[in-house]
Amino acid sequence: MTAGYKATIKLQIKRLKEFWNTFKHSKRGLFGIGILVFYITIALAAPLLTPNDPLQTPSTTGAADFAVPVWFKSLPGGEKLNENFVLMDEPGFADITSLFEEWNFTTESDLVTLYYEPIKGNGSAAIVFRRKDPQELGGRVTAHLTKEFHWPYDPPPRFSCDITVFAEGTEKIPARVSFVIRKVGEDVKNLTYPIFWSEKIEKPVIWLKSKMSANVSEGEIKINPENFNRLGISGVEEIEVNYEGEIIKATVLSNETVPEDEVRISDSDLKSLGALEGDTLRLSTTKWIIPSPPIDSYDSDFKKKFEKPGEAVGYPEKDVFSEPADYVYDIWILFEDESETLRESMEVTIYLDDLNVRIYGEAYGLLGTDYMRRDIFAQFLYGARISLLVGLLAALLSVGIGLVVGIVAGYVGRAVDEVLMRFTDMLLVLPMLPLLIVLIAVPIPFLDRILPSLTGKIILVISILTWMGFARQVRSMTLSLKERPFIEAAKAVGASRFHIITRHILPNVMSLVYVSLALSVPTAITLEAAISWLGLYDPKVISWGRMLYDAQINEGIDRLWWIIPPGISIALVSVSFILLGYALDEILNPKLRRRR
Amino acid sequence: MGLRVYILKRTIYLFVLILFVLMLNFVIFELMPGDPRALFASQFRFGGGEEGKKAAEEMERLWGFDQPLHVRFGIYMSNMLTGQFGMSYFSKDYISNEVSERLLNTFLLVGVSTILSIIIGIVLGVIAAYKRGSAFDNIAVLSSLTTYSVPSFWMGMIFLLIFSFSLGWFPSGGTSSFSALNPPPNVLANISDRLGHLFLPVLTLTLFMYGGYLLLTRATMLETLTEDYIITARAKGLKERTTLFKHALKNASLPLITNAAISIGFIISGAIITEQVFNYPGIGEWTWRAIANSDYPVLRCIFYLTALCVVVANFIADLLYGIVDPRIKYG
Repeated sequence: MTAGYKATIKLQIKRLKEFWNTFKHSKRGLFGIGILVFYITIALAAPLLTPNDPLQTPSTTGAADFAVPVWFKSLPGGEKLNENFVLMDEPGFADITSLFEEWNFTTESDLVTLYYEPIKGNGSAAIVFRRKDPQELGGRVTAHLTKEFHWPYDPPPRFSCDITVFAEGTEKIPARVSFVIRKVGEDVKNLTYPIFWSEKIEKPVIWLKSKMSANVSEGEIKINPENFNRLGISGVEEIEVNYEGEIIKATVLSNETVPEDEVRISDSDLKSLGALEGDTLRLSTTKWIIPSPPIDSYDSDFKKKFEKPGEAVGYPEKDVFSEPADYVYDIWILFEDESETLRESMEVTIYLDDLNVRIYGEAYGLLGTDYMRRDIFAQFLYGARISLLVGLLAALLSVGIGLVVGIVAGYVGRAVDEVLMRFTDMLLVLPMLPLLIVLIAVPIPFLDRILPSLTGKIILVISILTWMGFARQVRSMTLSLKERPFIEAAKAVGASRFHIITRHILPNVMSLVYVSLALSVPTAITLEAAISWLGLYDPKVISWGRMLYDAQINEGIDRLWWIIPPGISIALVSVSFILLGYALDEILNPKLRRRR
Repeated sequence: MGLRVYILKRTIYLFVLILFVLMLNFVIFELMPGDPRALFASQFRFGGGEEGKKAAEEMERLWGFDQPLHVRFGIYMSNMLTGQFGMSYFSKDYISNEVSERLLNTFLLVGVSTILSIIIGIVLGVIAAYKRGSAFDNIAVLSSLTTYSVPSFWMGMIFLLIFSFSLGWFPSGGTSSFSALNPPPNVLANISDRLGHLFLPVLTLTLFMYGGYLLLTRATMLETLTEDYIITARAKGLKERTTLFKHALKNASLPLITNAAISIGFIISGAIITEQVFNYPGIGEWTWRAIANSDYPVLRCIFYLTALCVVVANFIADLLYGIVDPRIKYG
């Protein structure tokens, strides 16, 4: 048994070798195979060739929207195109060296020191103001944390800055945190544009009377919404409630019906603090402060700051990065130790984390970016997957249906043949493209339940509407095979109908199957592209047709690097399958061969 | 079997097919999700207004929403056979008012392109077959495969980009720059303007279609050129052109005729994509808009007309086949 099995395999290998030896001489066939291998490779290796997700707008890195390809820089006049710039590759201070080696710390006072805080924010820069003598006021003291960088280009299309701040002890000594990007050597006081962000932190700023009641399970404290803004909190958040040194956590509830938001603290908590009704509580937030509105030159509120008389919109990019130069990301903290009322405190700490500057490039990747800053090259690579997948699976299914219908109609004959062939003829009459579009556009509950995605539905619908031609071909082939002597011989020795079909008819129509498979793929690929181009794409995946739809809808039609690669690829893959099909036809069906 | 019986059989088959198309058209739209009346109401937003009420009554009369299935089918059949397609949800107008103009536009576009592509395909195909294996042959085959494989919408986009946006030679869409408010100064300007609007869609569609004719002509011609009577013709000393076009092509034209007849059947449905690219107000663009707006009455009308077109074209192809080729066995 095993010996026979081995012999069969050997025979198959020998046949394959012979086939390849013949195939080698078909130039067109080899051309088709070459192109297909290329596209299959990029489809399979897409994750290796690009780190980017084709459909996700990158949140941290990535270029501006509508960036041009990076090779534009080597074209005449392209040297000035800027690329992505990130001040800190890994934002946040992961270790102590990144803080002290990369950043400059300057202060005019010996009261302020910088140290590395490993725990808070998973590593952050801590700037501490400490009085020499607890009883002696420190006055107004400034400290700068700066980092220089070189910007060799014209104004970028977009930039953004990140900073997060946490404050301790500011309820005693307020501190003002500010930052800006300026040219090296320029004074922050003489800038022609506003400072990006400046916030005086003095928490807690809210002193409230507690209100306890026996019948309400939770006590409530009303806070004026303005005070919330001063605390820098919004929505449902935890804040700290401090009563004479004891601290509990409380929840802030936003209440749309009541003009004032509420802080809810359970009565038992208040009692455990020892607070009585009417006592004063201090509220403070436990959150890191993030600038709001965000420091992003695409943000309309931020843009507004840069508006000039006579101009409709502000251009922060042009104001800040006016020319190629060395720039400084400058954060400074002003400690205001002037208050006479609070004499018991000694130190204030400002923690800074996630400091970063991002400048979005005008040039990115091999094919630039689309309207959502997504990498077009990644879309192109992943698009090959969908086109090939839809093409191959739809072709397989459609040829499969055609094969079954054709063999059954041809071999069983009579009424079955008549019914199947009339049905086939009728389907051939239907307007295929409109029907295809309707079936995909309209939800079909039964189909949508079994199929995992719209791509599956597209494959199924395409194959259901394209099998008819092949079924007719197989039927006529089966009809002629049926009359051959070897079938009669098989019948004479008592072979079953199933046996004859699977062992005698099927192997003889396989040559037709291979050819038809190769020739059905282009149909499926172009149909999928057309459907996607009409906007009926699967939202979860990118395909070449969808790329063209995106380009057309978002006025990218004149961006050749966006529309040429997918269009050419659809055509190339289709042509190579057709050439492959012709080559197979010449080799496998020498008798049926029509000289091409 | 004689020719007469053959024609009779085909005619019966034609009516069976039309019946099938009608039934399928009924079933497909019966299965569409959503209550047609609810859809209708939501599309028309009729809240008791005199016009809305009238429209609703008209729809009720035309389609009989309340009736049981078989009665509805009867109403549907009589509507379709008498050409009453009802009202469009989208334009809120009778479909029959819109359909003729759009049909005319599509017939113009696809008709011109089909004729052009048949002529180009046959001429190039004959030459390619005659010069088999030459550079011309290879280029002809490869270029027809390429233009056939290039997605037509993409080809349209590129043409728009080059000839409309960059060079400004041709308008980017529609059928005419003139309107009732802005009438053409003279007949000549009107005609040249319409031709300008037609140029890019016709170019796209022709390039998309000629490859099929070229390959088919080439294949049948190759077979014919080996026949004895071609050798005889050449031996007689006939001009090569006479041999090719009078002797060979005439005999090779049979599959071409049937193929052309069948493809004319797809004249209406074939241009969805091209019409969409060029925003050309024909049946194809109408189809897409109807799909996008769930405008089922319009879709039903389009399906019916397109299928009817194909069925009739197939019928004509069969008849031609029977009449043109005396060797055929009718059956």
